[in-house]
Amino acid sequence: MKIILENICKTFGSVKAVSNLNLEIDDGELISILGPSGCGKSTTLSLIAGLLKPDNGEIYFGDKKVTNIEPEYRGIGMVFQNYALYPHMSVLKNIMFPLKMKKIHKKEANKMAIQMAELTKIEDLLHRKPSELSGGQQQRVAIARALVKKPEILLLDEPLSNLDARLRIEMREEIRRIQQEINITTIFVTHDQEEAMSISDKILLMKDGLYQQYTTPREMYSNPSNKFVARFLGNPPINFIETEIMYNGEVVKLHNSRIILNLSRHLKGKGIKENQVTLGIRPEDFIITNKDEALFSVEVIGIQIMGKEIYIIANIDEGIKVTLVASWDFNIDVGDRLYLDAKNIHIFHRGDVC
Amino acid sequence: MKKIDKLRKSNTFKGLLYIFPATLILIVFKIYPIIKSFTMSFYTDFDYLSGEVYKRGLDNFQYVLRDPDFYLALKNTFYFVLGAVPLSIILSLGFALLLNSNIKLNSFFRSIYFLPFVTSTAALAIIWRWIFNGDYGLANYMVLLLGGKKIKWLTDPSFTIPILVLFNVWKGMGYKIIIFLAGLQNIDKKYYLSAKIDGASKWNIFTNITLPLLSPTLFFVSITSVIGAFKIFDEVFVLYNTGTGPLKSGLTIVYYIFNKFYRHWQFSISAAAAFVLFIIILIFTLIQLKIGKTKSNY
Amino acid sequence: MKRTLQKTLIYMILTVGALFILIPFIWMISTSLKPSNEVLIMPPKFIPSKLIWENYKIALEAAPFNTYFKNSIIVTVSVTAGEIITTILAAFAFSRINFKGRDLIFTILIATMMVPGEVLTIPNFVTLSKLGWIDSYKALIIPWCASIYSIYLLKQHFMSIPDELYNAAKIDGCSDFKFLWTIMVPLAKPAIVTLIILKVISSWNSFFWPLIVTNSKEMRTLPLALSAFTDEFGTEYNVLMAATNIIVLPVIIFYTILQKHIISGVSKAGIKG
Repeated sequence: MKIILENICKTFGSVKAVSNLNLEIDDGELISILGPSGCGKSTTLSLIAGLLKPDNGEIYFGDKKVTNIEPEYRGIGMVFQNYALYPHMSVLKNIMFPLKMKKIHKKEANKMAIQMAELTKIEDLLHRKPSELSGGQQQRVAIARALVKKPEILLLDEPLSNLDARLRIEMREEIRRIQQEINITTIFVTHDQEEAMSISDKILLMKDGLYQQYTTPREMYSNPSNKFVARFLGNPPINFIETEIMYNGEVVKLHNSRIILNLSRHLKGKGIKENQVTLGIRPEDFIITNKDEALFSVEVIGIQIMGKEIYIIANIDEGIKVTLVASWDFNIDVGDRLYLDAKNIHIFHRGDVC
Repeated sequence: MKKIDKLRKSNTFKGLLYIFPATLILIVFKIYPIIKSFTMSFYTDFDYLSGEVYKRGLDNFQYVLRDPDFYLALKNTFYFVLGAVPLSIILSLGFALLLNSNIKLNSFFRSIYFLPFVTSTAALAIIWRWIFNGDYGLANYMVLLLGGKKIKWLTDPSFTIPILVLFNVWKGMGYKIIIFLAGLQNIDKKYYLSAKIDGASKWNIFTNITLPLLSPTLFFVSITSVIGAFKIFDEVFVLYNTGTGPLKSGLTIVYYIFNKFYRHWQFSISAAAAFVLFIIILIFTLIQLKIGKTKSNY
Repeated sequence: MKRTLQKTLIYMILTVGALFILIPFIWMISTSLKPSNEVLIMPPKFIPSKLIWENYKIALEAAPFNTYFKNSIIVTVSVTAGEIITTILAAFAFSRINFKGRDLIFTILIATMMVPGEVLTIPNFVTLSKLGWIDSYKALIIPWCASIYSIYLLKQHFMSIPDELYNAAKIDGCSDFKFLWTIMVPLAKPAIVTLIILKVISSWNSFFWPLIVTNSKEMRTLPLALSAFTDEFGTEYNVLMAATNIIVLPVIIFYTILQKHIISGVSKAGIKG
């Protein structure tokens, strides 16, 4: 089922939770709504579910306008952050509940629930109470309950945030598997960029109720539309270097420093049109090289060993720090001087807030 | 048609529908009487059957405030409150502390103490009347055992309030113990541990940790006790066989209201007296709220 | 050594307290089984020489206890059922439905708790007599079929049930009314049971109200009947105590069976209230 949001606005008191949001989700896609807490992602999901009604704008499921339709008539399944299992009902009863509300015959409902339990791999737990299940198992029950009535849209509200790290990875793969098995249009809300990138066809990134960027994870990572997007994706985060243009849109001087960089090789002929820009370089895009090929040199001031790689914190000049990721092959100590080049440089307005 | 449909779907309609049964009863039997009782206390000449009022004024209040019986009722009630409230709070707090000190039969004792609370006051008062029988009662047997002389418990006016206090403490102790126990169990054990490590004695722990942390409970119990004590009636009515005790020594405010209304059919005077009772309770509650605010500040 | 001594002392005090509480009950049972010639003697006998069950028969035959029992049961059951239903509905609206004037109405209702019930007696009596309900079950039942205190307690409980459950049920296609009865009520069962128990006890024991709104013998409830009974059997304490026990016993049985529930319910209600 295709979902379209048109100029959606929602305010709570004086807080604009969602402003003027436009979004199109294709049938069978899994998209993530990503952003820091308070960015309006859960509000957007509740608007799509019908738990909240927008102040302005329209929502379409397929060709049908659903803006003012109550959630129970929207044909959606939803999984909540705390799973929201009915604590007094067994797993089977929980899964059967939506069917009971649809007045489906008990035998038939039973069969459908068991089918769903098989899909989510909880067929052995049917007679337990939610309190006797682990977090991951409760999660599976919640998914089974959301899917049992064969909805055309599945909504997931931070479904993994209450699980420990290992289970989180397992469950997100499960969600992807189930989603693809039944090919259901799915919206997944999360604040975890890694989760969003690993699971989704597309990501909508939001901040303070405002649309930031909506595209595939790959595109968003390699072509962030602004400083906020660039900074939100990637760990350790992207390095920002403030600069002023000196010459020809290619030669820049670092802000509050005398260091001058020639970017002609990196910009590949696309000159910078503004006078003040921020350069964005991802830590993994730095290349340790020799003095002749270097863009600039740095002094190592800290080293963090992360396991498969090491993070190096280094000073370009007084007060201008960068972080880079290097492999174990390099034998680096604090105080060393490194010569760096960059595979990829992003250019942003200096005025961007992030 | 559409408008009705929309109305039916609206939350306001739904909400009002859900609260309708409860609110209807509460309006008719609680809110209306509060207003009515207030206005009725100003009726000086009226026909209660037709509801016609010929004259209004402050005469009822003047009557009540000049009535020596009302002052007697006030005096008796105050004595009762002064006796019953502190005594029952101290006793119940004491027992609650004992029960809280890791006693094996804790729940057994608790159940026994609570027993009078669930039993009908009327029935209990009859048992007590028999215990305090001047010739053959259990109370006088005890007195004789201790080498005293028989006492005319129920006919000597000086014993009326003490007996009512004792009865009240006996009946209400279990309830207060349970509330105190719940309050005590709400106090985090780590405070006791850290106080112990800091070298505090048992008495120090009680005054510096238990009491301040228990103050919300203490506060709740004292407010409800005072309000309850001001409204004493059933006990007197049954204990003194529908009378007010020897020489009206058991005439309480509620009994006064009851007499004016039920026995003398002086509705508006009764309403005025009820209003005075309300004001007294209100003042005491406000005083306690004030004390509670300054004392239990966490 | 010091610890055991302390423990012994504590047990002694607790036992004295328990005896203080129990003696009147023991005294009642003992007297109710005594032959007449052992009642009015000094020093009293705690254990009767012969158990006279006759006393109970005399008491039961002396007054129409059947009617009183029936009245008490009808009133208690109806009042309890009525109050629980109105309370559940109202508590749900006050905790879940967002309607205009909700908080104002709730505040007004809560404010009425300040006014002692005795103040309301007179106008209520007038209302009931105008309705022609005096001396009828209606007068004993209907005014007590709603309680703001219960609504308040249940509302607190309903509010502790997470919103997510409500949203989940809505998405599962559940209407408000169904949600209330299939999810909220089962989840609030402990609180509702507490309310039922407290209401049963207070209604069974209630004295002041039945005294005022009933005139005829036929409408008396047990506590009233007992009070009237003392006029006739004022000196025959063994029969009087038997009659008293007949009234006290059902509550004591009820209490013994449900004491865990009652005590935990009362302590929760007290802490919240």
